[in-house]
Amino acid sequence: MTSENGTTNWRTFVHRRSELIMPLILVVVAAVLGIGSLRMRVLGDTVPGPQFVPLMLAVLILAVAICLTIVVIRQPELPAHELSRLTKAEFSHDMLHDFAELSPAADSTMNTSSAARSRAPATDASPRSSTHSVNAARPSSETDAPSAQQPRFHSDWVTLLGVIAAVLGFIIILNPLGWILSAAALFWVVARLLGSRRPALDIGVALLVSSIVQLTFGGLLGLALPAGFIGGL
Amino acid sequence: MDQLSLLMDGFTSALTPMHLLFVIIGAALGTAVGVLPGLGSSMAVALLLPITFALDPTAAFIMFAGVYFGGLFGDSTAGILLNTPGQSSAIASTFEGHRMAKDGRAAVALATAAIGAFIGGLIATTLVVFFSPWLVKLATMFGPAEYFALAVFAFLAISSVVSESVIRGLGALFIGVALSLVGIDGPSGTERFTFDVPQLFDGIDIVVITVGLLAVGEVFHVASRIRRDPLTAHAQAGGIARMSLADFRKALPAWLRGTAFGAPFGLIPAGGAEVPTFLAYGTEKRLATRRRDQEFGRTGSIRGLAAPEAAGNATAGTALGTLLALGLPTSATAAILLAAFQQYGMQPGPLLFERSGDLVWTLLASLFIGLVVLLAINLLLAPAWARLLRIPHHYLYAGIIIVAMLGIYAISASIVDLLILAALGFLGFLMRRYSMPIAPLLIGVILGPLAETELRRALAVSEGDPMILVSSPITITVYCFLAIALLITSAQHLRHSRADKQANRTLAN
Repeated sequence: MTSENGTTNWRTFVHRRSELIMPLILVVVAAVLGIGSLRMRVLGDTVPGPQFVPLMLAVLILAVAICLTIVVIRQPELPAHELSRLTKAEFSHDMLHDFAELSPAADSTMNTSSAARSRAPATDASPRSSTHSVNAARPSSETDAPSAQQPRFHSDWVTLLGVIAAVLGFIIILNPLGWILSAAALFWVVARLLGSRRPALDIGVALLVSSIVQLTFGGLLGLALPAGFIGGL
Repeated sequence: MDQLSLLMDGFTSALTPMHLLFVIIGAALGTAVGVLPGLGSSMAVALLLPITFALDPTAAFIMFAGVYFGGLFGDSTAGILLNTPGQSSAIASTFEGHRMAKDGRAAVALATAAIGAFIGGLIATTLVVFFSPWLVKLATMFGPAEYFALAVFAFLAISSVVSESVIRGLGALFIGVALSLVGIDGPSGTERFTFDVPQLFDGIDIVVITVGLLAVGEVFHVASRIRRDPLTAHAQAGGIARMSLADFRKALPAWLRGTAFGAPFGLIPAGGAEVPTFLAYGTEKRLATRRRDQEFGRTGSIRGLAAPEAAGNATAGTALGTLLALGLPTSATAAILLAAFQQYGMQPGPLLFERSGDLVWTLLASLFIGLVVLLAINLLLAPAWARLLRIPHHYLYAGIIIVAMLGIYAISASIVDLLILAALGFLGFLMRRYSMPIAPLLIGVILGPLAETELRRALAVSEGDPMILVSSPITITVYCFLAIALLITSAQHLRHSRADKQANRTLAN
């Protein structure tokens, strides 16, 4: 493991294994299930009782969490298949590959795992694979040669946290301000965060969309939406 | 035969203005959702679930069926025109479809896709109509152990056999089952995992879970990537879709072959239309090599597009039939449809045909009507759908999140539900970021309660003897199939990883 800088290595190691949050979530779920089952105030006398499945599940989840941790530590990030943008890991690329008898390099819409792994990140031939990453090009701090070439799925945390904050903000202002205003605000903020370049026009669009939605759902289908202070006017 | 007269009754009920309206709305919505990449019919059905509270069941299911099939009609449009399939069920169609478009034959390609989808759906629905009594009879032979075996098969097939990573698939599945455990336990009345929050006594609403994971999760995912991946869309629409008689004759056998692949898969919990469409494509490819077809893989072979399209819709047709007759969802979208039934207090399966027979037959009749409507709008309005692809993505996703929030709040007026929605949306983002498949989670949530109830029932009957789970011929068959499927999958993964290691070694040298 050659490295010029000890801390860079450690940080890259953890960075590339940020997927470890998933086993962590699994462990938390298993803990909730386990502790919840043991502390459950059982009513009735069904056999097997209500604790049976949760406890079994807790054990299974722990097993999966351990396996997943091992998998993630040994092989950071799955290969960047072209397919994965669409199937999003739902379908086995190997299996689909076999069924369709796809040849490795011929098809322009798909890349096999071997082609993806060996491709250097900067020289991407396929037009649709735009998951470049600055970090993957760092030369000497990578531990294993093949995976050093894998492009990383960088998340744009700024935009993401902005959208999440917008959603939480919406939840807070919904009751006081009513549907039309809150939804319009949410629409405007999200559209802006996602790249809209016409903030003034968007105000109109936002109000239009939220009013249409209120009319269709509220009016035609009779679902009740909060009116906020406007309803009181 | 009994089925024909029941079907005729269904038609009389389906041809009312109200129901026809919902056929058209469903078809239009479904096609729109299918055309737009990044949306899918499962997300659309999830977003429409809240509406079910305001509609009568027949109208709601007619609309859902329209959305379900519509998605399969529209998904190839963007694939053909832009090399970007609208849903994963259209990936196999995109290979030859886009090649045809590049060769200047986009109109023919669009027509082939639409007619293929129509034929696949038509034949599958006809099969469902005539075979439903047998399916229902088969279902009556199922006891708790058999249902548990089917649930386990669905769990493992979708999380392990067809998914990319077995471990992650199982993780998603187990999280789904865990989510379904929140609430009051049916058989005993015990409170489970409610943390004394009153809104959780009824469990986490399935609508919140589906909308959160599929819609809100997708918006969060797009938010995290939209500035990195430029989502370009420059479609060249070219007049209405049409094809010549010669093309029609070329495509017809391929359509029929595709249907033959697709129809059986609706019965198998293999996660949806992806597997049969790829199988159909592979077959056409093999036949093309044997025929020394010059077009396949170069200028675009009409057969390479026709077969997968027909296969996808055939699967959807029989999947709907399996859902209605057996109560077994074979894909994520079917699972959400099952949840919709449960919202109405109906349980698909043999009892559904008995108790709500008129709903079932009206629904089946509207499927036929819906297929005709879909064929018409996809052939005649092809340019309009292509133009739909120009909606700016920031408006599209902002709109989706509004509809999601609205749907959830409108049905429960609960801030707790909105918070759970946001949390599940974040989980949906994490799952997409870390390649954890979502379909197993949905199957886990929806089939989890059924699996648990049947397991406890079976064990109660046998007084704790676990052997009851593998003692009947049906359960043994199911578990054997499962074992074989798991073996084949492991062999496949092993073979590919060995090939990859070999390739890496040769490249390193």
